[in-house]
Amino acid sequence: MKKYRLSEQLGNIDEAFLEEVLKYTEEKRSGRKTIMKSSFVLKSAAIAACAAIAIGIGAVAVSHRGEIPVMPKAETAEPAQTEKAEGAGDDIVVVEKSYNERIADGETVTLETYIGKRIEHQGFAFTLKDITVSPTFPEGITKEDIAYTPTVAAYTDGDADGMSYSEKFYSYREYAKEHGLPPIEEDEDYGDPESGEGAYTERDLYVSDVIDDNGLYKGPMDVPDEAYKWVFLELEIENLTDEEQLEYFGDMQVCYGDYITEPPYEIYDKDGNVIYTQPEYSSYTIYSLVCYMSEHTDKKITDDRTDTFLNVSFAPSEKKSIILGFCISDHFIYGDLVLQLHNSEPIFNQSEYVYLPLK
Amino acid sequence: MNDEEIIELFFSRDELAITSAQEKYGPLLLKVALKILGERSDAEECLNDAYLALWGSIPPERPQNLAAYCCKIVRNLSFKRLEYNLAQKRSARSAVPLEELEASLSGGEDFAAYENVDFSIAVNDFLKSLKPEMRVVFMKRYYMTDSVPEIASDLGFSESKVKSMLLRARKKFKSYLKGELK
Repeated sequence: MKKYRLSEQLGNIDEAFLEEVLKYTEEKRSGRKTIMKSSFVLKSAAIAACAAIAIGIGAVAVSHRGEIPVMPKAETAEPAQTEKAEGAGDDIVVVEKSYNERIADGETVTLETYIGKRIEHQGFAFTLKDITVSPTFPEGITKEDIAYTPTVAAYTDGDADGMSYSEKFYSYREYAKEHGLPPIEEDEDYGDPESGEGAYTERDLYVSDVIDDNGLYKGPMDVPDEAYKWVFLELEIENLTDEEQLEYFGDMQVCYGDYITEPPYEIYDKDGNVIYTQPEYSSYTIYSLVCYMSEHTDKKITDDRTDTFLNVSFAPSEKKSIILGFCISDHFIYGDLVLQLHNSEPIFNQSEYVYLPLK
Repeated sequence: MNDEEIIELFFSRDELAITSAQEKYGPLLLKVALKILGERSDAEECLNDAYLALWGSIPPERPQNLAAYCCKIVRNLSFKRLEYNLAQKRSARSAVPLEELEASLSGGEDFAAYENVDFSIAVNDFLKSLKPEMRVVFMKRYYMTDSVPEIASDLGFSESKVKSMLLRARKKFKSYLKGELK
């Protein structure tokens, strides 16, 4: 059998698909250039504002559960944001210190700090009107939505969590054998049986999967209903009917916990005691997250939950105020929770880590 | 010169057609060939063959999109060359995405199970069933043989998002082809 028959077969595809790829790529590239140019002036304010939101969400979630220590990830501290955006008025948020510096100085950083402030970003502006945290699921969203956890797409050796896929694969296989669990499907088991090289499985490793310090699969983590909390952000967006702005705003994404488990890290109980230390790389700890947009808008989120991103779709609307809801599970630590406007530009360049406690 | 003008040159058998196509799409086509073959000399050779193929196929063909048409020719010629290179034990990085895709379909076994599937229809139908964003990512990886970091950079996604999309696309592809087997 010819080894690359598939490549020949793919060679017969409709040219329209190829045209789409060329066009799409070009649009993305040129879009990015446009944004970078237009956002230059306000970039520092935007970064600061988004970072603030990201940090604040964590802080709100934590404070909702009581006085839980918020542990910054010291080694990722960024230089303080001291630049004030050109033309920025007093109502524009400019963070003068990094989050880590604030914590080090004993300051409290919460999202509430930014309530009522006008935040400019990439040529448009919004104001954070209100934040609420609730254990109640919004209407129309069920536990099943949460149960859909992002998959871990570890598909090559040496993936981002530091554990090769071979290791994960064999680790799981051993675990399954030991606990009488269904084995990985046979057709997913290949590679060199001696070395494990090339071993591959497409069994999804879920957020709730736990892998211990030695890289051994320890089984799923049980997440009780009460672990989920909702954080709602009410945003008033200016000129939401502007088509050009919508083009950017339409790509708004909520990013969260992208490969966050750089060891060592610790997990605290509600009294602030360390109850778990992770000295080595673990499995991914991306937690369940569902985004919800209230009826204030005409559109709901798209169901395109790929890995760490949720894509949110907007449509032209006369309504200025929207509510974004994020469901988080406090069983899992998480990293950057970022309100990212348009996915083409890395607007968030600070890695601030907020650790949530296990129950 | 726009595409229609270049195509007209081909139709009037004016050799300026080749030069114009080369000027307009040469860098893109070289990139496509290089990604697959890895070696510049191989890629350039492939491009020469591609221009010849272009000359031979237009007319009678009249491509709707010249860039896509040229890319397709270069891509297919590059894979032929790749196959030759692999037979000569010459390595090529483009083997990786293909192995990845084939392996996900067959579990590493022979691809023979799909021998009777009419891929020309199945692949097109499968691609149609995907959302545009996922389709583009799938095409870039398995048709253009872009690396994950390249795709992420081109489209402004995180690498993890690209990996995740590819994983899901492969699963869908497998399940789609399984359906075709029944």
